[in-house]
Amino acid sequence: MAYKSSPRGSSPVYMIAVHTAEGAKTAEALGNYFWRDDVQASSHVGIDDTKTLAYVPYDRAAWTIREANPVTDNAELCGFAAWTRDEWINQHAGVLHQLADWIRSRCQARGIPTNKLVPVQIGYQVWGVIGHADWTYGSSGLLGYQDGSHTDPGTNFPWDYVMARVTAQEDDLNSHQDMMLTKVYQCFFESKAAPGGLTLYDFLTKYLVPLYQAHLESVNAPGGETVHDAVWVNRSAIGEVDGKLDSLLSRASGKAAP
Amino acid sequence: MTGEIYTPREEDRDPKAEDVMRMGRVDLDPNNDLRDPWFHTAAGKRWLAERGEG
Repeated sequence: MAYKSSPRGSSPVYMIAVHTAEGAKTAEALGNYFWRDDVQASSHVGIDDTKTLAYVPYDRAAWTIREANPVTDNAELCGFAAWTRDEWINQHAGVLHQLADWIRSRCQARGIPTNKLVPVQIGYQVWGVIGHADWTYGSSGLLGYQDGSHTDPGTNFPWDYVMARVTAQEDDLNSHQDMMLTKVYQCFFESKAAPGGLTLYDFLTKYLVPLYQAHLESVNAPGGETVHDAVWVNRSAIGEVDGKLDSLLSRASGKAAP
Repeated sequence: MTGEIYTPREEDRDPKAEDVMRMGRVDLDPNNDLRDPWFHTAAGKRWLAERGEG
């Protein structure tokens, strides 16, 4: 047995699609369901209240959304389209928060804008984030017929809540990366000017190469990780480097002082 | 965030949920087949058969 999948084809992946599993309450139970020989469905990941599990590698098309399989990355949420907005936000925030992380991560990996699309945009092949229902109702604009009948993740799904979180985290991450980069440059230039100061080579070998290696290992791991995944997985190491850069910067400034 | 591929284990199964899950259950609804429609063409069926999939 195996998770069902097929080749991606030549078109780029340009949509990130969200679904509700309508039964499974844990990502493990969902994985076991997809694993069955008689189930003609799969997904790249499954998300429950506490975890995100990977099933199909991103270089393969999961069987999740019919004609759009080759051009989408897909997440199945352990939830129900019938849930109210209140149930989603107040009882299953864990699912929504992990979904936001996953959407941001896949959008970064694919170069897809973090925009939630509406069905009419499907016909114009706009790049962005969709629910299965958006594809169902919008596919006729692209294919000339309605592709399937799925309406998940439902009309009460709190897209505004999820997408606000995607964007907020995106801003945080970018500003943090900017701040770190600025510190690296400051440290380098100031320490270079100081007698016996650190060189760029010191920085690369001591701090940046290990992080880069960690990133490369993540990229080559099954499931195809992204830069963001690597940053997330290595966040404690990055925090440590951040702290070292702070102390190096103050030391370098001290050395440079007359 | 989502590194290793999850390998199913019998103790993680939820047969009750599997019984009601519509997703992918073509026996309950022919429109519920989530594969690309290409798999229903002669070429698609041949491709699946060659790989022992389907």
